[in-house]
Formats: sequence, structure tokens, C-alpha cells
Amino acid sequence: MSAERPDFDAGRNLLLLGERRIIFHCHHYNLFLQRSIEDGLGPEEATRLQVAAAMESARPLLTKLYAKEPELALVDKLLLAQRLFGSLGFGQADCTDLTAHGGQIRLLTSHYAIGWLAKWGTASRPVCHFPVGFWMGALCAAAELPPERLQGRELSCHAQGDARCLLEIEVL
Amino acid sequence: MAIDEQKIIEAVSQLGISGNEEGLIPAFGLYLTQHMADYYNRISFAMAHRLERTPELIDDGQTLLMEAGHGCAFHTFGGIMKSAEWDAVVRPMLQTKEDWVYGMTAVVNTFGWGRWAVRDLVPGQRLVVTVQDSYEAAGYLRDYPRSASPRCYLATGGVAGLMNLLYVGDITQGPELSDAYYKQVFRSPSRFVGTEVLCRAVGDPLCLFIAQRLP
Amino acid sequence: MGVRLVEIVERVKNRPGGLPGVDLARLNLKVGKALSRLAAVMADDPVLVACAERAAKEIISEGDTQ
Ligand SMILES: [Zn+2]
Repeated sequence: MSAERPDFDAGRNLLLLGERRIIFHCHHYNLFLQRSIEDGLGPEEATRLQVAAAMESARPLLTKLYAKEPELALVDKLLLAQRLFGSLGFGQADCTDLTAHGGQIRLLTSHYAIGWLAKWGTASRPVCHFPVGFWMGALCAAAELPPERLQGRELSCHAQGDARCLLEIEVL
Repeated sequence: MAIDEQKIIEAVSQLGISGNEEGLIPAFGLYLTQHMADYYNRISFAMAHRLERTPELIDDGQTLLMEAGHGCAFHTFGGIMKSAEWDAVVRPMLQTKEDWVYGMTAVVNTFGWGRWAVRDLVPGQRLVVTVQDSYEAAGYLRDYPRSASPRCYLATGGVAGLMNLLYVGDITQGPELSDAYYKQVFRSPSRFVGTEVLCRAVGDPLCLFIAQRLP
Repeated sequence: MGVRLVEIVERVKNRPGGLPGVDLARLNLKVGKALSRLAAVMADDPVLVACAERAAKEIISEGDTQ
């Protein structure tokens, strides 16, 4: 159907999007795994790993989707990423401030923040590492930037009691 | 066996599960995502590899990665087996408790996890499941040298969790999937634990899991 | 040997409503040592004890709601 829908190979139980495997998982799994990575590596390194892994995962997937629609302008590519983010269940993002030079992304809802709150209550640290990396990957792919030029962070997180999650991407 | 797996796969895959206007997928009493296998694999394997530098901690890392699978089974499998969709599509095919295992496995075969098949089920005692195209093993093989140990942590926990839901707890009775019920089931001295006996990541042709009760 | 470390391990293991296997694995990873298996033969090094106390407090207060 739409460009953002995975294709299902029913014989092998593969869901593919942008030639990458998509799998269903729930917030219990996602958040327990995230906390386990923090237990194993410590919070700082776990954050870096999860941001990097999200960027590594999202960038080639979106590059493939963008290649199917080469006429899209940057803003349209970012809107495609925004629709994808929502259709995959990660939350409702507003990326209208994002440009090739960086900017902020507001998450009106965030799966990770809502999941953490539901599971463990208020978080002591921001929890939306996957979204930070996803949006870094999206900007990289859309603006064709070398990944090394991007830095990202979550400025405020709903899981910590803030009204919304606010992500920031800096292009060096 | 009255389970029509193709019919279940067709019906579930056509539910069109996708984010709502808030970008969320509330379903089966939880929030779902259609996530990226590459992401799970990178963070899980990076942590596992790091802990392998401190051999005394290898088991602890695996315990948590498999526990994530227990929680996944309890909430996602449990939530599905209590859902209206289950009642509509799968339940009419179920006659025995064992049918629930086959029915749930058929539903798993819409998650994108690779193809699960029940190879052997001894009621209340043992479950053997094979998985072709496990996303964990496939991801491992793509990015790392052949592994010395099995790598499908989620599936190992998931297979045990499915047996626990049926034969330690009793999901057929529609229990509330509460924290207390989780503890009751997963602290039971007769709970099931999973082992991955064959894994593509170590060079086997497919992945094979056994869930059996704690000795 | 390891009197305080053993006490911390016991506290985590016996926390009400916990999952001992999971809670102890978390403790070990947070501390970077297999305390649950080795505490009795380890010395009560003050830095290690402080680290284990912090980890235990986090595990016990945060809980493990499934
Ligand atoms: Zn957040």
C-alpha cells in the first residue's frame, strides 16, 4: 500500500521495509531490553550505543525509501520519516523545525517515554534514545550528510515528567 | 490437529496493525511497535560481546536478555490469547490446551520473527520449536564472525514464556496479566526454562529451542 | 570476608515482590562483578561496597514491574 508499510512474506514470516527486517515488539520488551542495556553498560555508554544503533538502523532503511521517490524535496523526505515514525508506533513527531543544518523535533507522543512511565514510573534520565538516533538517521539520509557530522540528544523527556519530549540534532 | 495455520496467518496479517493518529499502536493491552531488527540485534549483541570480556558476567547478561523474552511472551502472547481477535480467529479451532500452543505459534508467524514451527510438544512437560530465518541469528551472521554460542535470546525466552503461560499459569482461563501474576508464574519452582540447542549463528542449519521445567 | 557484600546480595535477593534471578543479574551487571556468586569470597572493599549499595538501592526502589 503506502511506501511506509512493510511487505509481508507469509511463507517465511519476514516483514521487509527498505530491504530491512521489521519485527513486532511490545513496550514491555522494548523497555526491559533498554534497561538491561543500561544495567550492562552503564547509562552513558548505553545511551551512546542505542542512539548509534538507531541511526545505523534507520539511515539505510530511509535511504532506500527515499531512492524510490527521488523527486522529493528535503522537507517532504522528513515528512515521510515523520509518517514512518508514527506508522511504526514510535510516536507522533513534529519535525517542521528540522533543516539540513539541524534543529529540534518535538514528540507529541513517544512510545519509549509512555512505555517507561507505564512500566516503572518517572524516569531519572531521558529515555528516548531510539528516537534520537532515528531522527539523526532520517536527517542524514534526507540531506545526504555524512553521519559523523551529526550529534543528537534529548533535551526534555516526557518520561521524566516533562509535558513533551524534545530532541535536538546538531550538524557540525 | 484442527489448527489452520494459513488461515490464522492470513487473518492476523490482514489486521493492518499500524500507528494511530497519535503515532502509537495500542493493542492487546500494551503498546506495540513495528521495530527494526537491526536495532535490537546491535544493542543486544554489543552488550553481550562487552560482557564476554568479563566471563563471570556472561550468564547475567544472558539472563536479562532472555528475561526480556519472558516478559514479551507473558504480555504479548498473553494479551493476544485474551483478545477479541483471538476469540474470533483462533479460538474456534481450539479443542485442547496443546492447540493453544499451535495457535499462538501461528500468530507469531505474522510478527516478522522468522518461521516458528512446533516440532514436539509433550503436554505440560516439554516444547520443542524450530525457527527458520530467526532475526537474531540472521542479524548475527550478517555482522559478526560465526558465534561460539547461540544468539537467539528473545526466542529462547519466548518459547519458555509460552509454556509458562499455559502450564504454570493458565492463560486459557483468561487471568489478569498483572505484575503479581507474572511473579507467581515466573517464580514458580516448576517453571519452564528455555535452551537454544541449535542456532544458525553457530553454523547450524536452523535454530531449535527446548522449553522444559526446572530440574 | 565480604560480610557487607553478602548482606547486600541477600537484601536484593529477598526484596519483596522481586524476581531473585533477575534482580541478582542486574546487581552483578551494575557492579561489574558477579557478587551474587562471589560476595562471600570477596573483600569488603569500601569502593565496591558503596557501588553495590547504590546498585541495590536502585534495584529495590525502582522495582521490576513486569
Ligand atoms: Zn522522551
